[in-house]
Amino acid sequence: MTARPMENIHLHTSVVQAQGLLAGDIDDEVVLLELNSDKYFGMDPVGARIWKLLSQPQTISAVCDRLQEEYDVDRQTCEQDVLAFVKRLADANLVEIVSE
Amino acid sequence: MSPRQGFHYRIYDLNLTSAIPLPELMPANGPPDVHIRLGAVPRSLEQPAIDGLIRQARRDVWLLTAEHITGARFLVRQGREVVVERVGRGRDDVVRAFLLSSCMSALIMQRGLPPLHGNALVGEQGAMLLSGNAGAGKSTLALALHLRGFRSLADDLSAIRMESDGACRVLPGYPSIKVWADACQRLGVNTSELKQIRPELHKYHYPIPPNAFCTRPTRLHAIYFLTAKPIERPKLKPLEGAAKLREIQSHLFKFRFAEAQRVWPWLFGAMIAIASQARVCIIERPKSGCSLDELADLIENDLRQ
Repeated sequence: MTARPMENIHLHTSVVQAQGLLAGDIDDEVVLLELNSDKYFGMDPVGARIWKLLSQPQTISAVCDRLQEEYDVDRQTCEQDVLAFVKRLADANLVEIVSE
Repeated sequence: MSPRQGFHYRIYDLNLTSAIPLPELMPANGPPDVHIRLGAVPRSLEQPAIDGLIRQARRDVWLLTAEHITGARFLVRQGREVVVERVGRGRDDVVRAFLLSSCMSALIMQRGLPPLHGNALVGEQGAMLLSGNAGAGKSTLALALHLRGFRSLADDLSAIRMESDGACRVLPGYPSIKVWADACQRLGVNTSELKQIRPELHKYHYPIPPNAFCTRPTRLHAIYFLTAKPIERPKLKPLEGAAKLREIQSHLFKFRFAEAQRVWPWLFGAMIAIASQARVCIIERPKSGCSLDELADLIENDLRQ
């Protein structure tokens, strides 16, 4: 269990890629290696796009703004999916919360 | 120049001069890139980045101190030199086995070449690696494929080089495959003329004739990770992305990545290059009663795709 309150990630939470990761492209995936756990994570192209947007601190809402420009997706679906995805990234220590 | 002392060989595209005879290796005569010599070896390293029970490593130095197993201590330095200090009554064949496995693996790591545990063979599409844990059946399947016409490129340890053109090439090891007696029997190979690896071990050197050994670095095409499972029929599963890296890492080294990266900072990039360029599959084979022909067919069919 992680000590951080992941439930608190919401649309205006600002998150950024965590430190201590190695990243590379293989096939259609972006692959991350989290050095503390020695675990590999693969992301599909959309996940990889979200991940790349998080190289700078961004709110979930700002990420959705960009994704809506690039993909044909309605706002509600986009927000739900990005929130769920970023929560999973946070659970795996792949992103850090910058501010609430 | 003084006359060069020792035995001269070629392995992994390097000329090696050794004070210890290594009869499996190909003889060669070029100016040496690597020396194996007898000398004093310390019992420990100062401030090792990797600190294990029997091995320690820093960027350019690697020490193996399993004297109770090997009868020797080994120091590998700067990808150029292996120093062996015999301790007590060590056996020559055991020392040679460690030189060709652990020491060679450390040496090529120091030269920036990832060493994958397993056999390498060459077919029309390029080099294929057969990897997997001890007992998975790598060398048996390698011999089966070799008998079907694939040239042998390396046994036990396959060195991969990232070329300046970006391609990953597998380097030639030595022209021999070490196989168990029962594997020979299954493949119809008569062991009476083969050299036994050690008197107490039912394992033999199967010599590869010169025309069936590939002496050129060969573009990596595919890696097959072999594993024994309680299943009825063999199964081939292609891997993608992160799953490729997981498998490759676990057959490259036994350290945590964070430790390995301190010693070999190029490692992650090399693994990404390998995983991007190679087709990577897991082959699950039944624990018992699996026909080698069926496994070899699986691979040949996959290579044709």
